[in-house]
Amino acid sequence: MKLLSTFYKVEDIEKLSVYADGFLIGNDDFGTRLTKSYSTKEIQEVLKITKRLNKSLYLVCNQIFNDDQLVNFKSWIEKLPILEFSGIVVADLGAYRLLDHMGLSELIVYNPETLMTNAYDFNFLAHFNIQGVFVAKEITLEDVIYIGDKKKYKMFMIGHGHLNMFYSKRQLIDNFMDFTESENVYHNRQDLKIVEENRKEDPYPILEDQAGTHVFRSQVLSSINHLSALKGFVDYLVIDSLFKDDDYALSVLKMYKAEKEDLEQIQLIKNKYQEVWDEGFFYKKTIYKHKG
Amino acid sequence: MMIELLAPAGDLEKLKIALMYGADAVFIGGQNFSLRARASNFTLNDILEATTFAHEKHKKIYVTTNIIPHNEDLEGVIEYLQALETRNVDAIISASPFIIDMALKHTKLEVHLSTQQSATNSEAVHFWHDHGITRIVLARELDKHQIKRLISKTDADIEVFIHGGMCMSYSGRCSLSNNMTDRDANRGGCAHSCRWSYELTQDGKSVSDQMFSMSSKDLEALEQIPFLIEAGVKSLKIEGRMKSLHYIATVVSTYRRLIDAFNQNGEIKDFNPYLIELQKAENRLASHGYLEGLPGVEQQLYDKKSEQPSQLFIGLVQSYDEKTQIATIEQRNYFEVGYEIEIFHPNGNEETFTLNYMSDEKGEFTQVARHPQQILHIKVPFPVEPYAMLRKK
Repeated sequence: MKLLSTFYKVEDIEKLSVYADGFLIGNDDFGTRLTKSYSTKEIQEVLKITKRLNKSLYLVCNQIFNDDQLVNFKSWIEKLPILEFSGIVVADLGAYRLLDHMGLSELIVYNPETLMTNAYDFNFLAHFNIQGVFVAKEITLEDVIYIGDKKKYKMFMIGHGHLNMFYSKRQLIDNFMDFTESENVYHNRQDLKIVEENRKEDPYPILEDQAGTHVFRSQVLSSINHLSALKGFVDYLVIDSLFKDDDYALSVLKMYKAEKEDLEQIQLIKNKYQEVWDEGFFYKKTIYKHKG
Repeated sequence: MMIELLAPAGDLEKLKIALMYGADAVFIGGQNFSLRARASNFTLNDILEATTFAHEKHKKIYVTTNIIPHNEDLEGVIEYLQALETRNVDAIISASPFIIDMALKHTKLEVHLSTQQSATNSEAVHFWHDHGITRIVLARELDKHQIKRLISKTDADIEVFIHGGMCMSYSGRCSLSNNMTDRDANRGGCAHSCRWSYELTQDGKSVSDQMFSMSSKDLEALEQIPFLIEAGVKSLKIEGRMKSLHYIATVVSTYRRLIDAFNQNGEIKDFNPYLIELQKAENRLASHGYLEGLPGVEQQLYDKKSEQPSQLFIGLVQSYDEKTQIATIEQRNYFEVGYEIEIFHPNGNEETFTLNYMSDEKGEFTQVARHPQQILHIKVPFPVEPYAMLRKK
């Protein structure tokens, strides 16, 4: 099982590389929920660095596109030395089809966030020769393992971080600032949270970027206790440092690389970043039908 | 092909109303594999009754099998789809590749792609059309010009939402409800957490003294209908399987008349009468969603009080005796002798009279209709047919 990480600063890649097997990078014209939007030039610079370090680099292009955006996406991909990337993460089957027609199917990693909840659906692109698929975040550990046991290509999974739970195309903070007749100084800020009256202990991070508005889980998903179960099935485990920094990624990567729960280190991280860790949906089954 | 007006129904009565008031097709949920778990979903026997009723009128029934299933939910899908086929269902609406593939492989059912797959571009539409799907329900996140350009690039039938509640996120990509209430939004349990009020904070401090909400006004696309018809949309979809009888009748009837008027005259000079009619059923503020571009503040709902239940609908006609001019009705809201009442006919016509006689089931004169679903006899000075509605003027 390889560890992929997000990052904030190009100069930190080298130290993160001690523990990470690869990285995720994107530009906000095509990617969303990014730690930072990297320019085409910066992406190419990072590609050289990761090549030198013999690390993977995945291009995150996980927006849902309209036709005009797909045209721009194609032009952008054509400008990049795309075959040198380890893969392209897409959330949209339109983007998948476009890349497939460009002869890039082997680079495609499909991540529709919520949709890959059973073994059949996870494998439904198998005969298209793509590289892999992200398993959904909202299923139990038992389901992840069941799907992993039947996988027909590489399995990717978010292993650590604030899981995204809402993706709207609307600029919801901008709309709210209009409503309050205030200037929107909150676009693309990573220090915002929304608090529901009956769930004050759970402030949810919220991010408005170019692609829309996103709400995340309050708690940080940690799978550190389940690596032995996951490593037989998951090919790439992602450490998402969004809302944190590269020191955070470094501390977490170190622990995941060692495959050992370091309680003292975990407490230090929790205290420093004022966060709560949990196991997401690993042991929590959602209710199929609401009675009443 | 004439454009299809597609309506929702949560039970058989609503289904019949939708078809009688002008829908060309109705979509319903079965008791398995369907979102909107709280809608009173249809048994297989109900579905057979629905398709029989619809087909007699040369209309269609689609069944939603649109959950995003977990491993444990896959059992019984093939048998269920085959049961739908034997009940003469015209199509299923699905999002899961498993359900789609099982329908294509084991039945002759037509398959429509649910909006839960968030198809927003022609490449995604091609993908699913190549897969064997005949109709794509587009995501709501496209404007009318994008829809028109997309249609020009595909042979797939395109269905577009025109009216009803709006998912605030890309449909199918939201798990707010899963996380906040353990109710699975993609398996029929959505708690509509996006419609709740929140405090927006930065570093633990509130950024405003007003409450933040992600709630959207409902979609209402009266003025966009001519454009969508000319763009080549095959089906115009009204949302709301949990909406009331009166809501469905009013909304369906209004769009029916608008579509027919446009098809007959080639233009709609004044949308106002249609808007006034729709407002008789609306209990949430409405706007045009994404159809005119990315929604701004005017499309948002920040005031929960905007939801006002309508008291206009006061009764449903069961029968009419032309000799005595007595209509038998079922009460739906309070009214009294002396009220001015509007009869809303299934063909969309409206006639008004003043109520001067009403008796209960025992034939005893009564001044007031105060009991829900009470059977009453009232004098109506013109013929009315079953399923006509009484509205308070």
